[in-house]
Amino acid sequence: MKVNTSPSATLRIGVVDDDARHRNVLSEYLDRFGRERGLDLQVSVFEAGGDILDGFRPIYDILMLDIRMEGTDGLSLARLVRRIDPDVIIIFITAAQQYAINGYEVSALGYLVKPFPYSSLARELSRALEVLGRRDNAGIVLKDGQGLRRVPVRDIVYLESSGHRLDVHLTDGAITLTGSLKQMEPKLAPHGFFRSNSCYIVNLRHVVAVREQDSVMSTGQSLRISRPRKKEFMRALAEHVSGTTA
Amino acid sequence: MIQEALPDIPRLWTALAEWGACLAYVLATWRPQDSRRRALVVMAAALPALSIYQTLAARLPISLWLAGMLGAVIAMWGILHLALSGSLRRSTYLVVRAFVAAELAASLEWQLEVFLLGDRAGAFWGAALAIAVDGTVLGAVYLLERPRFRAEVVPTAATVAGAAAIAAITFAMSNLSFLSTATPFSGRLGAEVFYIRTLVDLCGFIILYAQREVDLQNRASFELASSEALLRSQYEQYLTSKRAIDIVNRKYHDLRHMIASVRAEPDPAVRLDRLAELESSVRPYEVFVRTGNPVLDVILTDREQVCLEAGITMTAIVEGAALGFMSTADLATLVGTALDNALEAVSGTGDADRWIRLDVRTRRGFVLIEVENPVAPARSAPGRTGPIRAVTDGSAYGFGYGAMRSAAEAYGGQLTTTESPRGTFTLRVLLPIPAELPHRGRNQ
Repeated sequence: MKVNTSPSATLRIGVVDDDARHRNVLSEYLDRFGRERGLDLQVSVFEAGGDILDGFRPIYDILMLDIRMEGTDGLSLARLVRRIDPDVIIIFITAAQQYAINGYEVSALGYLVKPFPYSSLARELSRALEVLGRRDNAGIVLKDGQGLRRVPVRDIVYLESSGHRLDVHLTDGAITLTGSLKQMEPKLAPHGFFRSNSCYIVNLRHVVAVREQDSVMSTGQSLRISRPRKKEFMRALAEHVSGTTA
Repeated sequence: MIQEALPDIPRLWTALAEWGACLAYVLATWRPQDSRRRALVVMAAALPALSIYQTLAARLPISLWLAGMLGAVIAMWGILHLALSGSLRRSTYLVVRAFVAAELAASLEWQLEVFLLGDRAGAFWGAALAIAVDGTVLGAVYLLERPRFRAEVVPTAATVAGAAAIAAITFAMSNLSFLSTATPFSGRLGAEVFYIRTLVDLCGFIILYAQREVDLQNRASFELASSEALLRSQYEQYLTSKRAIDIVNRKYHDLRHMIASVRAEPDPAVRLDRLAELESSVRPYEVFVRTGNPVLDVILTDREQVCLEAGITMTAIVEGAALGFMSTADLATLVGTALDNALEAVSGTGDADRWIRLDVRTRRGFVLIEVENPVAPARSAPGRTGPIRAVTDGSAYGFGYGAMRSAAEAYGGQLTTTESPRGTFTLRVLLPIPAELPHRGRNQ
């Protein structure tokens, strides 16, 4: 798994824990993680939920929240944070795992059960980095009748080949250009696209369901998946869904 | 060949019986999702169509008689398939039964008609009698079949083949006397031929009925086995709870002493240590998980105990309600086996690396079940020929892999496994969330 976060990029981590001793341990662990991975971590530590909520801005990549705290507990805190920042990765810290099992409500990535060794923290943060790495806001340059134009990959629903032309179906409208799926496939594959048929390349993030032999797209279209590719399609989809659950 | 003295069933009578049988089965197997209008149109068109077909088939030379009968069966199949939406297999199963019922009704009716009306058979009063007898016989068939087909049924291929064989033998035996009197099984005297035919058709119908009964019973016992598994798991949950209550009672006594000693401790640092100690001593007993799915709760609580005893950390984020559409048995197979395999794998790893991560979440139209665990590093050091774990395809991965895969596939899902370079093994099951049906059984 290649992590796209380059060593120079700053990773902003917010920690909220009302236990002073535990805050120290966490800070130490985070220092070590940054050193070992060659990452520039900017860690902000808060003693209470209210402190971080005060004028909260969606500036963090990762939040580590203690679940059981005086005042605002971690789960309520996460709910409030989610209203402002749907993208931040949330990792809970808990003394009793039963409180974290409902973490899906706030799309938590995972949780750590106190007291945890450094290796557990490193594992959860590695997963967080992977998820961040997959969240590309990359764009791709397409050339249509009017010239070059940059399209964010997340706006592409699917590509359809018809003869020597390619129709790039976007969330709003379509672009027609000359070319073949074969040329486009290697360009798009790293961004979560899959060649599901001789005439389609679909964007897995727009697949909302699979019915029988068809993939249903977020725009409502059903696109046929060729029989020999079905299994590989489901594997790619499972991996894609897994990488974006947080 | 048919004896001169014996007139055979007029073709229109045959068409009437076949149509009536189709109608009886359409009514008996009616489901709310079938289109009422389409069935009406098909059944209205079917009567003239069958009559015309039978009239034309009557002109065929006797050597093509069998082909003519086959054509009639195909026509009935088409009627049933068009009138009722459903799988090809279901239609085939129904046409086999409808055909035997039609044979029985027509045969009995003709036997009575010849007996009652003699030479006037086949005329006006004959038609009235035909409608009355066919109506009675097929009405009885409807009443017998209706409760048997109340549940949605797609028979297995073996059941359909068995039914088809029964029907074929019935048909062959019942018509043997008409083809030749020179067999040990043929009637030689006038009307007895009709009687034999009716009896054989009746037997055929009874055997088919019995076959269905056995089939339903097998199904019922399968469901019983599933509910027994549920009861067993509830019983296990009860035992677990009981064990926990016993522990709590014992611990309560200890706790009171510990609290008293904390209270009496003047040094704040020692006091904090005592408190931490106290907390860690009760932590293992906070293991009752509530995921929103009672079956998953039992599975997880149970495995949680195993993890505690083996010093394994299990972290689970589980949207249990999302898996409500799965049957208990399938859920236990899928998640239970996945966790057991993970436990097995983790027990072979080093002390620092004993963890399992379980994730069950909905995402768009899917539920994703993910189980991740570290694997023992492949022992490739020289001089060691230890077992090397299977990679990616999972064919050699643990016990019950096939059962898990078929449980996933029963819901239109897919199971995949991957081994990451980080040395972890991940099993993923992607299940589409069923659109309308809250319970989707394996047999659909």
